[in-house]
Amino acid sequence: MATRAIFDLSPGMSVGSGVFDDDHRVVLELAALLQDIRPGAEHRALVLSVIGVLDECLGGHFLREERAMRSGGHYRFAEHRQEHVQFRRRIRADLAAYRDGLMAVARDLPYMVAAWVRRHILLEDRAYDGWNKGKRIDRRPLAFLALEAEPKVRHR
Amino acid sequence: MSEQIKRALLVDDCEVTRRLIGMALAATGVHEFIVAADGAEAIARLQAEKVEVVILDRRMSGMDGLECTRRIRAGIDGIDPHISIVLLTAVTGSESEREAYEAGVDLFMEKPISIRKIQAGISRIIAGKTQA
Repeated sequence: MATRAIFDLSPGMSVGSGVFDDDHRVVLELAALLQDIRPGAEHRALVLSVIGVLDECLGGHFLREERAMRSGGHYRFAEHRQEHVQFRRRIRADLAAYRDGLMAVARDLPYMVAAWVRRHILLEDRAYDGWNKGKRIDRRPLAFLALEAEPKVRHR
Repeated sequence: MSEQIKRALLVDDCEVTRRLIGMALAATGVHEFIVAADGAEAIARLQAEKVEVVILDRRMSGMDGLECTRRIRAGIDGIDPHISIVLLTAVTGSESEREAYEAGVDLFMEKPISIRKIQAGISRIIAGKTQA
């Protein structure tokens, strides 16, 4: 039960803005979902699905956050954005590694994501008050931003 | 994004998959959905409730997605036979696709799932409804 709590967004983890808290909740929920996958015929497709959707949602959330930071004149914007870039690079590397057969990714990724999100919220997102209170926050559903964050590709 | 699809039925015997598709659907603007764990449960839900699209898995422990599609298209027990059906499956390849369309699905999509794929599928369903 104690390990499960790391996937919950407690009131103490709030950044003071509902839309950003909702994004963080979605990311943590996807990490928890990955942990909940049990062996079965579609295990591989499901793991790839959850990590892929996680990557899409991170793209959308980071785009929303970076737009708000830029419009709010966040003085550490460049460094903050670099953390986002590096984290997505890590997620995509793990996705590729799982595709190539590294099964441990499915076991380890949920905890890595939860730990990163919690650290990032506490040390970065909440360190500079005011950036997420502006009127220019893009409040559209996460999917709109996720699609905007990625180049268009064709899917079957 | 999904201006004309308000309510969906998700049919999959894996709870994690249902939760994931539900999250992806909500992210694309479809906030109201009901769930079923196999084809038989889906038929029962459709007899009792109206939805605009059914998103179902092919391989399920009870009645599979193809049989469920055939029964919907046959309009059994008063179910609307023209309801939109999307098959979302890990059974990939042209043979699987042919069987799906022969059973009567409107759209065949292969797993893994993504928000972009779900959004594209919903858009194609909406476009099909608009043309009809």
